[in-house]
Amino acid sequence: MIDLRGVSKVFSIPHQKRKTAFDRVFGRGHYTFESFHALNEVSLRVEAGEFVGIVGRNGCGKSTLLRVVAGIYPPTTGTVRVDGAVAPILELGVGFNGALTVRDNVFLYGVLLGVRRRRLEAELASILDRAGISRFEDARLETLSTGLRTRLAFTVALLAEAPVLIVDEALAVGDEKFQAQCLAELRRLKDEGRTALLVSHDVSLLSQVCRRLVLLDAGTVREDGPVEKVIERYRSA
Amino acid sequence: MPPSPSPPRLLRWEVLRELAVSDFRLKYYDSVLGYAWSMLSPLLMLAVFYFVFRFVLGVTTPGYLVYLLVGLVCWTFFQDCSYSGLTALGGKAGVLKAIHLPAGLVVAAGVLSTLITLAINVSVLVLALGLGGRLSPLAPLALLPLLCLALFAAGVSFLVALAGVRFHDTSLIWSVLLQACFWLTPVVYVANTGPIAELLYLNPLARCLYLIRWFLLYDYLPTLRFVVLTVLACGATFVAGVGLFLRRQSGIPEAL
Repeated sequence: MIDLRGVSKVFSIPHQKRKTAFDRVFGRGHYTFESFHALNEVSLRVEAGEFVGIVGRNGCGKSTLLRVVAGIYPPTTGTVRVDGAVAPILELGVGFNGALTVRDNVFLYGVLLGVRRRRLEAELASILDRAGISRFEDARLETLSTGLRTRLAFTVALLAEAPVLIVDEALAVGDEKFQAQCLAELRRLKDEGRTALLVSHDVSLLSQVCRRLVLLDAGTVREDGPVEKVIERYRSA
Repeated sequence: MPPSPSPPRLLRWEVLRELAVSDFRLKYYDSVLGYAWSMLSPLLMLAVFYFVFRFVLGVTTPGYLVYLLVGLVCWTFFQDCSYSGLTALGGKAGVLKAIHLPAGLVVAAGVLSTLITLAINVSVLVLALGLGGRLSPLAPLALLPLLCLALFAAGVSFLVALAGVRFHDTSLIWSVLLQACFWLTPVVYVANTGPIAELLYLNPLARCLYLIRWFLLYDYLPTLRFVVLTVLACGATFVAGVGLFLRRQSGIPEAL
């Protein structure tokens, strides 16, 4: 279950460059800022086992919302409650390092996403098989194509045992076959009773796994309800 | 109230281990000599400093070569450890912005990675001293000042990491401070007595070096007061560095 009550996230945007020790010491009092409300009094409740999609224009606060739920950014005001661990799939393969072998990257990325090392060792062959790269276990990751790397990242990310999934645009990567595979995996996770918040610009993809969508606009919830209703509002906005 | 539960303790250890081991592997990525570089670097510095101090400046201290080697191995660790703190968060900015991971784990992994190198180097050093008949019977006691050195370097590493997030010129300032610290610490020269030495040994790093050399090379005990003050100074640096970092770490991902 995810429960957000009156959550706001304000970023302080400086008007001038102010990142050096020199600036801090000698420029005191000469700098101006403005507040950017990335999220504004957002209240949202996602029940256990529910898959909810978040839609909205670029810069409306979707990614900030996911980061606040995942615990990466603390909210400026309001409360966030999440029952159980969160597996944030915000950027596929974010812990990958091209210089390490495929095997090492599976362990590194998997552990970062909260999968136990012992499980990764036991399922390594199956992970590589599902990603279609069994022959490249000892190859450096940088020798694989972007598509293969993404496939590997998604396969590892799906192993996350956390009851709550946070997915940002992961459905938008890969070819049609890969997207179909992703959808099938997400449906399986939904059947297992996991909870998920999914962000995508592709509402048709979201509508295949979600019954409820939330429309964000300028950090505020504009619409929250059945897929068709929210899509209509989103397209007319 | 935390937005989501932190990773369990066991999993944190697994993350720390994976990050540290991958850091260690990447350090010697594509180098011909691999891990041998970790020992070769202080050995090359040793050759240069020994030549300059022995033959140019005419230093005649008995056992100077071994004194210098111990100093350089410890200094190289301190330097690498503090730099790892400086670069760790920036290098893992993408991960910290996408995964709920305590930023302290990333810095700790960098420290652990340099500790692996220190462990290898000290093992080789002790072996060489033993084979050369120069190892003191008190050598096992050197583990205490080595632990103090690790605590001090880790504390500094956390402080530098925090400063690096706030001020982008920290790396430039730190490289100057490190140079000053190198020459104000008896790494390559001997300073055991006199008012200047007393001043130099206010520095916890100098105290650690003094004790490590003492236990490894000499067979009589230093004063208990000196040992206790060294432990307290290094422990305080560690607590201050880690404590300050932990108080500020929740804001680090958005500051990167």
